[in-house]
Amino acid sequence: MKTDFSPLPLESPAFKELEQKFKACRKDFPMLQQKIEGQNFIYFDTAATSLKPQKVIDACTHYYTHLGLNAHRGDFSINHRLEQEMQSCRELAKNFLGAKHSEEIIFTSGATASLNAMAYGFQDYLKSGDIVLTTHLEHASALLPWFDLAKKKGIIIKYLPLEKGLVELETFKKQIEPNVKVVLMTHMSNTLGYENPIFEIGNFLKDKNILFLVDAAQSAAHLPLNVENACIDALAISCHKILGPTGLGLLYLHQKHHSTFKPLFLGGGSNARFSEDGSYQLKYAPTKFESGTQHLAGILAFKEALLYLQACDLKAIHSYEQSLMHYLKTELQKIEHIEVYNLEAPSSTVLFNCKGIFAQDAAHYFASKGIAIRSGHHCAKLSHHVLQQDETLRITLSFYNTLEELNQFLYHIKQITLEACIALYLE
Amino acid sequence: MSPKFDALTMKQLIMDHYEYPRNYKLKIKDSDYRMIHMASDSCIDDIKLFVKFQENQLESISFEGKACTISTASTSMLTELVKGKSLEEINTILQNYEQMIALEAYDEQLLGEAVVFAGVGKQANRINCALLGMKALKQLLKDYEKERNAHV
Repeated sequence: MKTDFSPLPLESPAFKELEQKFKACRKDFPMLQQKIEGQNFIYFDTAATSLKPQKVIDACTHYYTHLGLNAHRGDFSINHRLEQEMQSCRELAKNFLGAKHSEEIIFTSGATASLNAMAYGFQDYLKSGDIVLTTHLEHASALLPWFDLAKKKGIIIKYLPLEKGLVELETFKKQIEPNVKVVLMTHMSNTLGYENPIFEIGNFLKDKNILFLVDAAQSAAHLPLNVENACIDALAISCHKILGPTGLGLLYLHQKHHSTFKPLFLGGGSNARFSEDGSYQLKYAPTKFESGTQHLAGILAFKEALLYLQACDLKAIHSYEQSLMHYLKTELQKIEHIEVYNLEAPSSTVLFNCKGIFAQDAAHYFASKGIAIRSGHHCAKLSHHVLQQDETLRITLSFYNTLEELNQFLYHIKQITLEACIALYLE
Repeated sequence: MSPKFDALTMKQLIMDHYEYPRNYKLKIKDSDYRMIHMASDSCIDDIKLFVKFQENQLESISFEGKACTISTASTSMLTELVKGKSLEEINTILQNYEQMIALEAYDEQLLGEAVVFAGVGKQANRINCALLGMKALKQLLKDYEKERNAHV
């Protein structure tokens, strides 16, 4: 049940309408108003972090100015108000993810924390010889905790064969041998940007006593999610990639695991009582999984981020981004000295290189023109198994990007040469 | 900009050392080569440096890996500068190179073609690129000198 990736023709009234709507949003983003060395700031790295609307920024300041106390600790009306705001954010997040209960939404310090929490939280479900099935496209934050568990517990990590970077359902089904106990997969790779069929996979796995763990750090800003329909056991969200503040993430944890999943942290706020004999009693979810003071300013800000996204309409965002992305990919393919790596399927990224130019040098060249794109391995250091290419350039778009920005980029990329890159650091 | 080379020559030199790096992926069978893996923390530059010391001299050097134009070309130039030199001479070369990148005074005569990177220090985000090969060599030299002093 893949998302519809149909791009709109750029001359169509439907696209023009979306273009007008989202161009009007740009004034809400203060980062876009600045000049970089006298040039317009063109930001094509939303996958690294998204820009923030003023309302999100203001919510942080509002917390520190007017509500700057703690939640769950204190008897002022402000303390109570903060608890209500936290719950309000949790409810919005629950709806955003298609979860059934707000107790299933746990605040963390980021997707990396959520992914670590997932691995270590489920470790007691597993024994030596159990298999974790994953892919070469996973992010370091998803994989490395499992590398650690593999050493500690004798768990075996196996990699699903991909068809040119795509997860094929029938190939996947054949990989399910008796000892597979975990399937760990990104909803959308941060390199190739292809959507994985998590709805089909989740439904296939649901009666098989196999944990289905999903990394939605990249996808949440671009693709609709429904964790309940996709039968997901746990899922990681990065708030700063969906217009929210840094230092905040979400862990979705299905209710059935709430009494058996091990909290990553223990401490104040999550325990009901503890005594000298070493015993302790934890509270109920989600509080049992949220030790310490949470990022309250961040939570209030993230609530604004979710409301902003809701107002923009995720379907409209998706359609607009896909139309821009399709145009960009089409135009890049026409340029002789550009190699694009992810043409097999629609995607939310463009992964490419300028032939003969090391990715980093090219990125510096674009930076000198005020254009931010990313170079490197993008933290998915096993991607070369799929790409046969280590270092790449990556562009990720958001609804605050425009056709004019793409054309500006295309103008520069047609002119880039190794010599021009070198000339940048010679005075 | 160094008065030694004009802008065009500088570009050509860097391109030449980037596209045809010297002492790159030489076949090393001798186990007397010491190796250091230098991967940048802040970017994707990743090189391995192989050095053979003989008594007080650097007898042979090679490098491999994937890195940007600055890292590759500067490492290539440095390998040419230090080949066959004494440990003391190499230390002086590396020190002057480091000073040049730090935009401090340095002895141009010691650095040969590497003076093309005199201006790199003005771009903060490229300094690590220019120092990658140098740091690798400096570490190998330090380890070797420590061992030699221990035996004295």
